Amino acid sequence: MEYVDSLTGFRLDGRRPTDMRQIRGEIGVVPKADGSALFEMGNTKVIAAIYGPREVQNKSQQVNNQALVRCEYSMANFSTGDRARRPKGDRRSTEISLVIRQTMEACILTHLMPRSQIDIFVQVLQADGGTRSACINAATLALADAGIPMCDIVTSCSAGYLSSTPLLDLNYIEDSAGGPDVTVGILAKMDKVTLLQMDAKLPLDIFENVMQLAIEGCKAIAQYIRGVLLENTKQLEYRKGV
Amino acid sequence: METRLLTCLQALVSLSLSPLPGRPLTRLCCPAPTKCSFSSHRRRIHSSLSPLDPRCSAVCRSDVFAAASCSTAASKRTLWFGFLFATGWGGDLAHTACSSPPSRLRISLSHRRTLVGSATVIGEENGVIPQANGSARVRLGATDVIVSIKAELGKPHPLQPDKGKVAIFIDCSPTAAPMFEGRGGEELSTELSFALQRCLLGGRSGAGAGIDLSSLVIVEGKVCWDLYIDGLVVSSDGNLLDALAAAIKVALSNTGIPKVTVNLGASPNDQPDVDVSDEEFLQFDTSGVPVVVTLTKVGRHYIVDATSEEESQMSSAVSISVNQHGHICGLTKRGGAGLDPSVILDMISVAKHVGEQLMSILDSEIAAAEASAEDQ
Repeated sequence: MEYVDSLTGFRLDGRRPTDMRQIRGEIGVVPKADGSALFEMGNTKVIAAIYGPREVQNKSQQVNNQALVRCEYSMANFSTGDRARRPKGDRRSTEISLVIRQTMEACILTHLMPRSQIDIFVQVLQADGGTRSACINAATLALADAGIPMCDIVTSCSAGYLSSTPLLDLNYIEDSAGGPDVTVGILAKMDKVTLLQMDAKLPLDIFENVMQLAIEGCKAIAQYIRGVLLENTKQLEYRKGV
Repeated sequence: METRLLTCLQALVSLSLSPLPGRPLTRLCCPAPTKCSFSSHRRRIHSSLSPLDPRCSAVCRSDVFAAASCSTAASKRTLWFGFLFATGWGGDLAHTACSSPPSRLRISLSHRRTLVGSATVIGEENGVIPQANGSARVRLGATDVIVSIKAELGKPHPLQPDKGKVAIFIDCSPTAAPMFEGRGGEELSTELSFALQRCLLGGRSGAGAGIDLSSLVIVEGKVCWDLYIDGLVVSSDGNLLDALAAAIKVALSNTGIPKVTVNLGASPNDQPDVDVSDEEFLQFDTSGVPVVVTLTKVGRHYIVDATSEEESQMSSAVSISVNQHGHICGLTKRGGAGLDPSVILDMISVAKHVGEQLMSILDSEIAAAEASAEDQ
């Protein structure tokens, strides 16, 4: 199957190889949570909700010099094309929970909130490739909404290599093509990579290109997220009457 | 007692007259003697008016409350309304100061999130999940649910060859409350699924179903549509059952079932050849789908559309599903405390009345959502 049209250079969904899908972020979608956000990347749509910092529920997990960060990733039954009833806590979601937790832990200033707990819950409403990245972006927005101190914002984006072309932000069809899929998470301002995952194999020089492309994607998302946060802060300022 | 209350209400009235966000919160304090019954009450206002709080619904609700107090400040109604809020925190004061108001009033006031609130409070969106046959999102105050409907081809049950199958699954996302983490939400999910099945699908025979099951049959005894109704609770602030039932009704009205042509094989044992059209869709007739009205008993009153705070103080709750003719299609009672049979009958008549109003609101919202979808 041809993933990039050899004549026009367009991908199956009409994007150029270095185009990202349309992204959209919205803050405060779950009124009862301490912080929440919705993030869309094309047809991928996730909700993140933050509860905390609060008292540690399970005392045996309490850490005395830093906050405990927990994460749960869940997918709605209707999120994928074929309706499948999946059990909670299967291996895939446990792995993604762990990845998100580790990535977010890297940017949260946990030492400022000792003996407390921060819960990150991400819920996938629609899955069309790149759920991992969308979840991290949503979690970043939600953490900022909850007012949790962070050293920087983490953003994530994936890139792949199909039909001898590096492709940014793979959708489900491209993701399931079996080619390499590089998911990168960066601390946008500090320019540090906190998450890097790849399946399949890739020559080193091509990998560099693909990773660079993903980092560019991350930076674009970071810029967008900053815009959303700024807009939100302006709204708050307006409501406060300043 | 009444003077204290009036002072408190006056504080609220002055609050409602001032620009809400910028006001210093300390000036809201009520006199100290009323502290026991109103401290939590004040906290609520405090929290909902905190200047950085971006959650409009909370502000909106206290606004509605304050506005209501403003209009009929001295009448017993307002007092009672104030009490209704107070009872939510266990202070069962309602019977100490004023007689219970007529039931109609109870509805229109306590049904504040849908009837007193504007159309933006009960928000609906059609077609939120593009890969499903139908979907809807319903927001009731801070409660937010998404329902998606998927139709798959299946085989009818051997005992009911002339009926399709419908299954309802509800999931409580941990985003709604941290206690739904892991397997924590399973109990509530199962309870909601069964309550909705009871209310919408009729008995085991499917005779009293709100959804016309015989319309799902393609070839009797051979091919039928299996309808999977998946609900997801994204945010929870009480009254989940009513919100989910409303969302199911809206999602069904938005559902398109592909037209199917079947070529039966020569011999009866042959697998029928099914051709699913991806252009022509059949719409459901959803006028018969009932709505669910839950009446929650708090203190000596029962209220509709309880928030989670009110639910935490409930003694029992009765969920009644009502169809367009005002007939009762199902009934579920939750909570340990017993109810007097005459109260249940009273509740049913109230539910019937509220159900009619809710149904007309839903119908107009569906029409508005469809109109805006056509515009796009």
